[in-house]
Formats: sequence, C-alpha cells, structure tokens
Amino acid sequence: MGKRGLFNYRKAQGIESEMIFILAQLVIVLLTLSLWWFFISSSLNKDIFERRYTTQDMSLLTDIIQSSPNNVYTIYSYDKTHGLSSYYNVEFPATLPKPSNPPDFNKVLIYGPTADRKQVWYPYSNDKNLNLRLQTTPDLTANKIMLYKIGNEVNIKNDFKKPNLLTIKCPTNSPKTLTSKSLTTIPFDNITIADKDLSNEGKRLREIRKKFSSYTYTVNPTSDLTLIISLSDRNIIKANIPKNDNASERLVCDTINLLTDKELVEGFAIIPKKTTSITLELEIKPGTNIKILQETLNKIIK
Amino acid sequence: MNKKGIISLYMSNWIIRAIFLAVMTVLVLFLVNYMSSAEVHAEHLRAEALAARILYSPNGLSYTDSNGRFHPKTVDLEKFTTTDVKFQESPLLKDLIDFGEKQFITAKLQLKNLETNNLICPLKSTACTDKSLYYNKELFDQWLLFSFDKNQFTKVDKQVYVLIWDKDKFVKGRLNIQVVTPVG
Repeated sequence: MGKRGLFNYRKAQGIESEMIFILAQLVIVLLTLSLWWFFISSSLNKDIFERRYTTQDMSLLTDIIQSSPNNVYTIYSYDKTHGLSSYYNVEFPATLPKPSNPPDFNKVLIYGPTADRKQVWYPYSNDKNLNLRLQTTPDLTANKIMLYKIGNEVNIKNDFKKPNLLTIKCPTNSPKTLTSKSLTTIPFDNITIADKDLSNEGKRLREIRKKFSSYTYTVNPTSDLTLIISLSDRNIIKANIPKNDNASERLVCDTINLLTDKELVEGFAIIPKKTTSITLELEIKPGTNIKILQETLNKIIK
Repeated sequence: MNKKGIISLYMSNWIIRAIFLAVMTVLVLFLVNYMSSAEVHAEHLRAEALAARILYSPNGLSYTDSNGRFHPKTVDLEKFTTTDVKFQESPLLKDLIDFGEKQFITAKLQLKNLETNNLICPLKSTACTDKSLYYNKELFDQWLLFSFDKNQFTKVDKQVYVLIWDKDKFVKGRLNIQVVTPVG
C-alpha cells in the first residue's frame, strides 16, 4: 500500500497528474491572495469611519464651545492618518448638496474628493442667543481650525491668531461722552513694570485681591474717568468712574476692551461698590513701559 | 491502492483544504470590514453636551446676579419655570438648544430641593402632577417607549448636584436630567 498524502502518489500517477494538481493549487492560492489584497487595500482607502469620527468630533466641540460660561478658543487639529484627510473637505455650515440653497447651520459636512462623493454629516445645536457665525472653511489643508467664543460671537477661522479672551460684552446703550478726565500717575513716570514671579499663580492672585481690598485712593476722583497708577500697587491700574449708570458702564467696558486689545493688561476686575461710582482695576502686563501706557491711555480716553 | 482510490483520497484532502481556505477568507473579509466600517457612538457625549449647555452657558438655567456675575452649575428658579401648561416645555431651552429642522435629542429635567426633599413644579402659579420640565416633550414620550431597543435609542440618566437660587438665597438641590436620543 502506498503512502497517503498529497505528494506521495508519483509512483502511481506520474509527473503529469502531480503538475496539474500543483498548478491548480497555485491558481487557487493566488486568487485568494489577490482577493484579500484587493479587499484590504480598498478598505484602507474607504475613509468613511474617519469621516464619521471627524464630523461627530467637530460637532460635539461646536456644541461645547457654545456652552462656555466665558470667552474661550480652541485649536482643533485632526490627524492625516494614511493621508486620508487630504481626500476630503470639511464645511461649516453645510452648503451641499445644492450650493444655491441657504447653508444648513446645524451640520458639519465632510465630502470629497468631489462634492457628491461620500458625504458624511453630523448635526450640532445652535444657541439662538449667540451670534453663531460659523463660515465655510474652504481650505483645510493645514488640518487645523480655530473655534472660538468671544462675547456673543461664535466663529471659526484658520489664521490661528490668538483672540483676546479678556474682551467683555458691553452694554448696547451709547457710551458716556467724556467732558472731563484726569490721569494721575503716582509717583513715577518712565518706569517699566518688572516681571513678577508667576510660578505661584494662586498666591499672586490672592496678593492682588488683598491689595485691592486694602487700597485707599490718594486722589479724590471727580472727573468722568480717573485713572490712577500707583507705585505701591506696582502693576495695577485703578480707574474710577464717579457715576454708576449705564453710560458709565459702557465707558468702563469700552476702555477695558481697548486696553486688552492692545495687550497692555493681562487681567481686570470691576468692583461695583454700593456708592455712586464704579471701580475698575487692571493688571498691567509685565514689561509694559508706563510712559507708553500713559500715552495709550490718553489716546483711549480721549 | 489503485488509481481510483488515490484520486479519491487526494480529492478529499482537497475539499478539506478548500473549505479551510474559504472559511479563512470569509473571516479575514469580515474582520477587515468590521474594523473599517465600525459605527461611532456619541450618544452619551451628546447628553453630556446638553447638560453642559444647560448648566454652564450664561443663557441656560444658571443664575446671573444683579452685577452681571454668572454662577455656573446653579439653577435659577425663575428660569426653571414655564407657562406652557400643556407640554411643560421650556421656551428658554428651545432657544438654547436648536438643532434646526430635525430633532436629535429630547430631555426631561426634574429639580429637587434637597432641603425640603420635594420636587419643584416648573409651572408658574399652577399645580402640576408631573413635576418635570421638558425639551421636546412629544418626541421624548415617543422615544422613551422605544428606549428598550438599544439599537435605535439611547437613554441617559444624569444627576447633578446644584445650588438653587430661590428668590434671594441659594438652597441645595439636585437636577435629574433624562436624555433620550437616537443611536448614531
């Protein structure tokens, strides 16, 4: 009796039968491998999962940004894994499928490489009290976008310039017209505010708060807006607006926004007192020259 | 063994191999397909985002004092009330969370005063049997019925300890948020 097995039939069958079976085996194995190769490679190019993930991630981020109690910004970057993200486009808000239609402000849409290919979208909610101004970002080749909420405005941009988070929402009434102003610097003129040790932020903030509470004005403010820079407070400006009304509030608000826009201050507090005046306390950015600050303040309050 | 016997033995080996190859092929195709087309489930995150919108947004239910200072994670009783006797829906929440034409989330909010241990009725000057404030009540009722089907809807229950601003003081409270949202 001959041995059992695939290649042990030579004596009985000869070379021809062996060759036919081996060839048949090779064909089947090659076919199977080709099928696997084709399927795996097409699956890798099928980026639907990535698109779904990205739309959901961006939508949820848009939801959360709108929930922020105050100003906030975030830079969202998404991976270019396997170079797939270069295949698709992201739209805030969705304008497809008909570009002539009004854009759909409640969707993040991903499509590509052409407009009708593999569209994936996911909804996000809109706070109607906010001014949601998400606009289509045409070119996301950098794979980065910045989402921000400043005051009542929620927007998207891709220039990555850090927005001013200290901007506050000002009253809508007309600002007060300044009829008189005074700017008092005590007792220095051309001094640069020294850097302070910022390593212990909590301690520093407590010190500042303590200074605010114990501070007594050396100048009695009588004008519409009085700004006092005191050496004892080092990097703190105090402003006093004698009349506590809406127009004065707008004045304080505008002043803060202008100062923070110019990056002269890095923190502020408005302390409403149960008197007729508003006190505004500004923390000056370390490294600021007082003379330049004075000139800027003069320009602002004019 | 004669010629027929050898061929028959060889063929039976072949059949076993072919079956094995077919099973392996199907397995590989299934695994690759499963891994590359897996769904992304974000229903719980969506519920968290809704809770964050209600409690942390200045336009939500939280209290803002007369100086304009916003107190996150509080509930202003004035904002928690509604005049919608039929649906007990909050107009404030409708403006706060707008998904456009299609609705993707519904919620029921119950606020409990932990000092009196009573649920607070959201209706202004009217007694209510159901002491709940709703967001999309009609859909909530419909979807809740089908929430047993995990393939269609997800129900998320969330409890948040909050401070309730009652006229002129804070009292301890708990906000129960029940969210029902379609899967996907």
